[in-house]
Amino acid sequence: MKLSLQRKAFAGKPLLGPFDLTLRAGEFVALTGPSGVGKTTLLRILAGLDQDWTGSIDLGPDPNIGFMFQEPRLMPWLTALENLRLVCEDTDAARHMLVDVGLGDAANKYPNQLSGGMQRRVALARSMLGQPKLLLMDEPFASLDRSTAQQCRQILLNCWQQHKTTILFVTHDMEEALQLADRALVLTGEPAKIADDTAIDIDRPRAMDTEPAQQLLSRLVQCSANFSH
Amino acid sequence: MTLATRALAIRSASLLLLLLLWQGVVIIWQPDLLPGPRQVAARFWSEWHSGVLPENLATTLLRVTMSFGLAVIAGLTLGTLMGRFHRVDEWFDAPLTLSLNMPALVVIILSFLWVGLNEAAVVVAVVLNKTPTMAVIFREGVRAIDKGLLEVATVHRLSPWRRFWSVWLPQLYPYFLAATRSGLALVWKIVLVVELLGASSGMGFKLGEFFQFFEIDAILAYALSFVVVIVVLEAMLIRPWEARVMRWRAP
Repeated sequence: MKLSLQRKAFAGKPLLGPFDLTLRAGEFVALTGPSGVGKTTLLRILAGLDQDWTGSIDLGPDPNIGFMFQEPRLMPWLTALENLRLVCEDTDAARHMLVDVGLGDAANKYPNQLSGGMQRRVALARSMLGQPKLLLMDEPFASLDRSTAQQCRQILLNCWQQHKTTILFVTHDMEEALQLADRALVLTGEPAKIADDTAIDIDRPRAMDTEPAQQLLSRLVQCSANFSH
Repeated sequence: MTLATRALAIRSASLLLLLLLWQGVVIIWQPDLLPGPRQVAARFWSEWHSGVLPENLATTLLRVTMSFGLAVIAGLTLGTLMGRFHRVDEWFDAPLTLSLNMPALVVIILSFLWVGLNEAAVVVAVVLNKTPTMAVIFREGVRAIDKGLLEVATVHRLSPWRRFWSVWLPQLYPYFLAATRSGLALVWKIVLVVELLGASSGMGFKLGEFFQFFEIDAILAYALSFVVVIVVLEAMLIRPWEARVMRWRAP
């Protein structure tokens, strides 16, 4: 995926660009930066939800994009399984995906019968269904309790390793970025540009209490702190 | 006793009490202008067997269905355009307010004058009367559409048909229910007035006839049979439909 963003303005005020962003196939990239900087807008541009910008984008032949929004955004009138079947006709694949996210028993429940964490997992399943080539995720596990979030991250990693999806993952949690991604980008400034690009070369599964992990973490935290002033 | 059977028992008991009260009034005062329940029932029976009541009932129900259906389609179209496009809303808002406040009777008279004393005029009169209310309901519905859910449809590149049928329309179901509820109750009352004024068949026409001849037992028999039909429609069609499309709201 190659994006060359010239300019994205919001109400006449430049918000993003100019910068280039390239994601290699199968790469897991974390995107961080202060809130309000335009991370969500960048995802929406990539997903084609925001058309009001200048520049060019190359998604490759037959782009198949998955998007996980900040909110679950499930159709309340459809059961968990029906919500998946809405985006993918293959019922077996949908069922398997529900089992993968640990919701095999909740297939016939409506969203309002599910807890917040369960709704997130249905949304996670929906975004991964149909094996998207590019998966865009907007703080998908924020506001989940620690253990549920950890569980969701593991599910995501499994899916990523199985299908070699390219993932762009917005988060404000540096530890999460460090735990998941191959590369961490920091988006900052007015208008915002990609100000830092750090490779995370730690073998998976990753333990956060090792020396190199802690060093990288403090570097990332420091780097985003510098830019937000 | 479950809650449902208890509610049903109370309903039945209150109706029975009303019936007894009616009979009591008739026995004690023997009023000339209020026939008793037995007389009304007998009249209903004879009208039913002669075939006059079922025929007119069917005529009126057909008119109600047709005009209600057309009013929903027209109201949904107008309401959707107004809810979706600010420009349309700006231009149609004042005429809508105007037509909402136009007395039903005026619309009926004008329909007969302009369209003629025929079947089409009956339907036109009712549709013109009901469309503005429907449009207002559906405008609110379309304004309340969750754009976030539509974005889900966009990202997953759903076909326009699926997007409409599975993502857009279900958000309007509660408004359909409200429109049907308020619509059905009002539409048949308007249809009766239209029939009274300018049709030569239907419940309203017959009621007018009975009024000329002071046949109060027939008036009550016709009115009650129609009310029963509407109540049955509500119980057999609308409530099951509501339960079906709203079942996701159940805890």
